[in-house]
Amino acid sequence: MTDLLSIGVTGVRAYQTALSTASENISNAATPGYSRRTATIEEFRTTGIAGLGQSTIMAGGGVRIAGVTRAADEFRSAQARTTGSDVARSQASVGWIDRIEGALAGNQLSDRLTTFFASAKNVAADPASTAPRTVFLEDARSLAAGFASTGRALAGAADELAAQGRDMAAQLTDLGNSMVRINQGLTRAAAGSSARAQLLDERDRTLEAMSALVDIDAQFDAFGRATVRAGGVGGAVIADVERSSIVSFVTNASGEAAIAVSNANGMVKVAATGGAMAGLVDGALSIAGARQRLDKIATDFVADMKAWQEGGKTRDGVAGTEIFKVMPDGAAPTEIAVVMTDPAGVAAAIGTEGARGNGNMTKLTELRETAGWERRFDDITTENAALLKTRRAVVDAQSAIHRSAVGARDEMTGVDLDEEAVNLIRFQQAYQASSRVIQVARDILQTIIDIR
Amino acid sequence: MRVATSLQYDRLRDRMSALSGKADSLNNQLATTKRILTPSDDAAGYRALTALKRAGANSDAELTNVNLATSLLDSSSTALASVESQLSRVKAIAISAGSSTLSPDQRVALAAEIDVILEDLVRLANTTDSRGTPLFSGDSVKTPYVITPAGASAADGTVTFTGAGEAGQIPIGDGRTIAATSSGETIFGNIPLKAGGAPGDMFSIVKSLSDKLKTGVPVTDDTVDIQSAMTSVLNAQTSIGARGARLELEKTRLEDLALTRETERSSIEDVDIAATITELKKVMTVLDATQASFGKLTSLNLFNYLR
Repeated sequence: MTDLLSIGVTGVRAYQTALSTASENISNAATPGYSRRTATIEEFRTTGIAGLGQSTIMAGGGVRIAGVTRAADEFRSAQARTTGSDVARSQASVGWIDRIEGALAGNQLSDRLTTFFASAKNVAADPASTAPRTVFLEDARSLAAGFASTGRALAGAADELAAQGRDMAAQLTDLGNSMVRINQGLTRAAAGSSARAQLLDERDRTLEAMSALVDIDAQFDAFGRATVRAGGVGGAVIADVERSSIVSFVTNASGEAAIAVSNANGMVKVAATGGAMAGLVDGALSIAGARQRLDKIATDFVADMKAWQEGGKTRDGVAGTEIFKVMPDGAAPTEIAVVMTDPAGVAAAIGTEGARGNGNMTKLTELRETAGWERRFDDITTENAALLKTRRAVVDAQSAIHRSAVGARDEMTGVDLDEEAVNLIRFQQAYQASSRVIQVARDILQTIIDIR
Repeated sequence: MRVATSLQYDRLRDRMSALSGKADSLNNQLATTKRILTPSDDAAGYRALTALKRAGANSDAELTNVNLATSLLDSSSTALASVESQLSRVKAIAISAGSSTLSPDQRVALAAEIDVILEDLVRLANTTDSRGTPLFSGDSVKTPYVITPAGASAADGTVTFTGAGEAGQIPIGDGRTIAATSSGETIFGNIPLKAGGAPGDMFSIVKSLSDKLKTGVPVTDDTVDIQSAMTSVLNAQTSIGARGARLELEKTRLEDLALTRETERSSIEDVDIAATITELKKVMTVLDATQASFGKLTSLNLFNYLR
């Protein structure tokens, strides 16, 4: 009869564990990265040692929990990570392209250029008067400020991007360190233990966080320990069982960015194709491109306007001097200031023309057409806008793919409260029945003891 | 298929936030009545808008120029009309001075009248425009006609032209320009004289009449030269009239263009209000339904039935 008692005890114990597993699932239903646990219940077989020729017929030994299984699907998880990397990259680059759009359109440089040249037409109509010349100089100041603020907005975006990149690199380095610790924990954790399940959850969460930053390749050994490479299968190892690497985000003078991994073997550049850091590299390239083109426009504008002024005559009949100048010397080409204070200094006339001559203003109209500063600036704006629109569509598509990949993964690993409620009832009933078995065993024993 | 509870919530959340975002952007379009709020809303449309805006700014400046040119032409025309009437008076005097019955006193009186007219003519030739600068000074801004003061080395009372060249033409759009003023040299100078030789100017013709009357030289056919001066002024008036008509056309053209641009801008940028409101209603209805179904779905939970 002791068998009956112990069978009852195993039942109570096993279902207690099963109940706590179900409760654990319920309480973690909303925990990100939590994988559903299942208590594997199996028959407890006592392996009786039977003598040679003897046959032992034994009743079962009850039930036991073979282990806590963590629902996981490496392929679906990997798919969710990869698609997540893609979205993160596109989203990050969209953010920065949007910043470029803000800088280009927000500072109204295009409008200011137009106003400046329209105002030149009024000077041409009435070169002898001070009023249109004063307006022209005011518009020149507004234009110079437009160049400067656009240039600064782009430079600010570039600086901010570099800072964000460095933060992300530090974050990735930290995640690499965590991964090494998790790997070491996995070495020690017993198979089927809930500690191991927790470590595996932590591992997958870390991998997901890493893949949001850069596209990674993760290879798992028998213990579930991960070897993580940045930039896909052929990339540099950023974390394995023993050590992690330092990830850095570097920018060059022209603003282009790259991701580098350094460890005992030296420094390797990562050709990332996914993750927010890859998006930053894209964004840095876009910003650098926009800045380069804006700088070129600004440089050409200042030089051409200087030549134009010098080719003409002021209202007082002397050769003109520059209106626009990059201040201070050696500053960015967009740091333009208006150095002319006297409206009479605008060289409206040319050659031997008098105060009412406007030959040089006609030349400015021609210069406006041939140099095409407005057109060139609008080219940058619209090309960037078109890129932004396409990238946004890409983000939408990639997000849909990512959502379905996450859905597929969560179908395997997620907690369904209804299912857990059913399990709870099932295990509770089994627990109650097992305790009933103990009671029956006690009653039977009592019956035997009570025999007189 | 297992529906993970958190996924169910996440999906509904994503859907609702997507719908809210759509509703917000439609609402923005309605509030601003503009379809293109940033370049990326429609890159090609944005570029077209920039071009329209540029054309608009140019047109505005050109319209200002057209108005300025019109006012300059009007001023010139008024001044020249006065010059014409004064010259008619001189011509009348010249005709009466031709009579041999005039006494020396009468001649002196006529000369005095001509001198007054001459002063008037100089004043008219020095007319300033709305900007306060002389109309007929050509390229320069100095007072164009000065009467040589008595006692100066040049002959007494001679009127000299100090201006030079022609003023720059005013740009009125698409590379077109118009001369809003003419130099006094063109209008009052370069008048072929009956006597031949170098052409003279209106002032010397009038002055010579006065001088002849004062010195007793018989006035014979001075009317011919005066008529030549009048013809020159008349020609200038005709030219001003023609330029005024051209400006009128340019103004109409610029205003028509502004209308066309406005239509074009509206077709690119403006929101189709009816369609947008309908779309917004649709989105709001779907959002309402999603929110309602969210409430229903999330209240469906087996735990509610476990007692």
